[in-house]
Amino acid sequence: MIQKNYSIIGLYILASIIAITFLSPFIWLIFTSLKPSKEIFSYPITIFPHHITFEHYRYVLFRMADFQRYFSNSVVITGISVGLIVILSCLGGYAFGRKRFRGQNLMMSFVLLILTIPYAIYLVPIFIMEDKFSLTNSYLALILPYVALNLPWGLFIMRGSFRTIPDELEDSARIDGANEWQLWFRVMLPLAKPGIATTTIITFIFVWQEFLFAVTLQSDSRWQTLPVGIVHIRDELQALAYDNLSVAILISLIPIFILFLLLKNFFIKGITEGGLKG
Amino acid sequence: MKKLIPYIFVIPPFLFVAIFIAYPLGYSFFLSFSQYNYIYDQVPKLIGLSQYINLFKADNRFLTALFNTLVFGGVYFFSVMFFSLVIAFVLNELTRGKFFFQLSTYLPIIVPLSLAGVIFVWILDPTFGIFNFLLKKLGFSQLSTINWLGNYDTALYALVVIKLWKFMGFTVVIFLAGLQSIPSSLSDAAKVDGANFFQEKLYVILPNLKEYTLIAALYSIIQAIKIFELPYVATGGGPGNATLTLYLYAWRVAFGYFKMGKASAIAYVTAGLIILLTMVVTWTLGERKKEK
Repeated sequence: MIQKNYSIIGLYILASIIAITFLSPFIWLIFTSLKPSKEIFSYPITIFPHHITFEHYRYVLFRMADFQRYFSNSVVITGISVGLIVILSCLGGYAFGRKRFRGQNLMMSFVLLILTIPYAIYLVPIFIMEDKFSLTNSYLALILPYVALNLPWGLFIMRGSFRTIPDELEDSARIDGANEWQLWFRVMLPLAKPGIATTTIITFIFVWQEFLFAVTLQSDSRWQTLPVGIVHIRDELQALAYDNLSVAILISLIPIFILFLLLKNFFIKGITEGGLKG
Repeated sequence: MKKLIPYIFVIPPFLFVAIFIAYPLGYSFFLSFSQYNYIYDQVPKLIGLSQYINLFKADNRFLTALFNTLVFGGVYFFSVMFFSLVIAFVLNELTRGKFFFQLSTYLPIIVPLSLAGVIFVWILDPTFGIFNFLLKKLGFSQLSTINWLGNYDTALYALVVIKLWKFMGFTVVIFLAGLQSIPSSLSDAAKVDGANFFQEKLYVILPNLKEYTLIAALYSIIQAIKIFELPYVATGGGPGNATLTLYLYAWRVAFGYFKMGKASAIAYVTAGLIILLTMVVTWTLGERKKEK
């Protein structure tokens, strides 16, 4: 018994070391954001803030126009992209999961194939295409490729989700006189909610964090999203402006943090069922 | 009419896939055999295989990028697999506070990789960074003078550590799901038979994790080779070319020098590398993942 207690204590010490290792960058960022600028660049370094101030929060939230702009760009682009991905995946996933039609296997194989291809391959042609149509530096510049890149993933998840719905439900809805549209919208969609939640969290995380396409397709920083925008802010400020930078980073994490807490279980389901994304 | 219904559902998503995935896939394949300077050339000019041959024969920066990518990929892949398995073992044994400890390993998932880069530039700053300060406090005064991201010998490995921090949660999740799928009667039986902790994990648990190991490995392979944000943000590919990767090099060739053909060729080599490694992993870990 005593030995068992020791091993449990050891286990929790180990788990705490792991937790602290992963959390320490967050803790350091929070500490930095609360220190007066003078203290951030004093030596020797003070680990815990000696004076706590919210001046950086006030500055970033109310006076940093660039940050506000990037934040609202991120919200608009992520909101529209995720919405479109979910709708289109629900449409396509329904046909793949519950219908038989010509070319079905070919189309699904193609979807599975592109899940393994790195996104870098699409970047040059998409840039050329958007440049020729003057689409760069706009919301659409990012929304269109984000929707396409995430669709294979959404189709895959939604196909699985629609498949698990028992046939009896479809039959009885048809006997009640539901047409195809009603069947999809009123009967199938509510039953596919877990799949919709999984698709939402996985694509939200992707779009909110995307860097490669954003840095390439939005050369005008007015259209930029947070992952690139905050790097811009850092580059413009030149010196170590980690007082405002740490606040900007922390605030940019809040939407995804809330969603992550709400849909954590669907997120876990999503990555354990598939796991490929590049 | 009835036969057409499925197509009404399938066509909208497939229009997106056709325009933004299928067409680019084909067009960049064509470009990879062409010379196409986006600023000067009106149209791409086919030059055949020589683009690929030149990359391997005459382009030192490409070879450096390939080498760095393989070093980064190898170190990252084996570290992420090993450490996430160990962490999953530990977290799986916990009875109280499981949620908190799991959440802390997953939390970096919410940080965009580029911002993870910005955070670690601050942490690893040679003067005001907390990391070297703590090293000094703990008595490693020799190590505490190293500029981890600015040193030719350490920069690439510093980037590996940042990527591990950000992505380890994904593979821990996968392994934890695997561990939870193994009935506890199995490890109990092993303990009754007198297996010690390591024997139990190695001979009883691991073989039953095969399917999950494969998922984790396939996931990690892609992350191991896709290295763009971190060198872009944290090192700029330097010092020298110490952190120049295939992704970063392809991007610079395309959007710094506007050589779209050459950039496409590098992208295809990168994709080929990922597909090759994926095949090696699938083959090594035994049976193919069954399609459900």
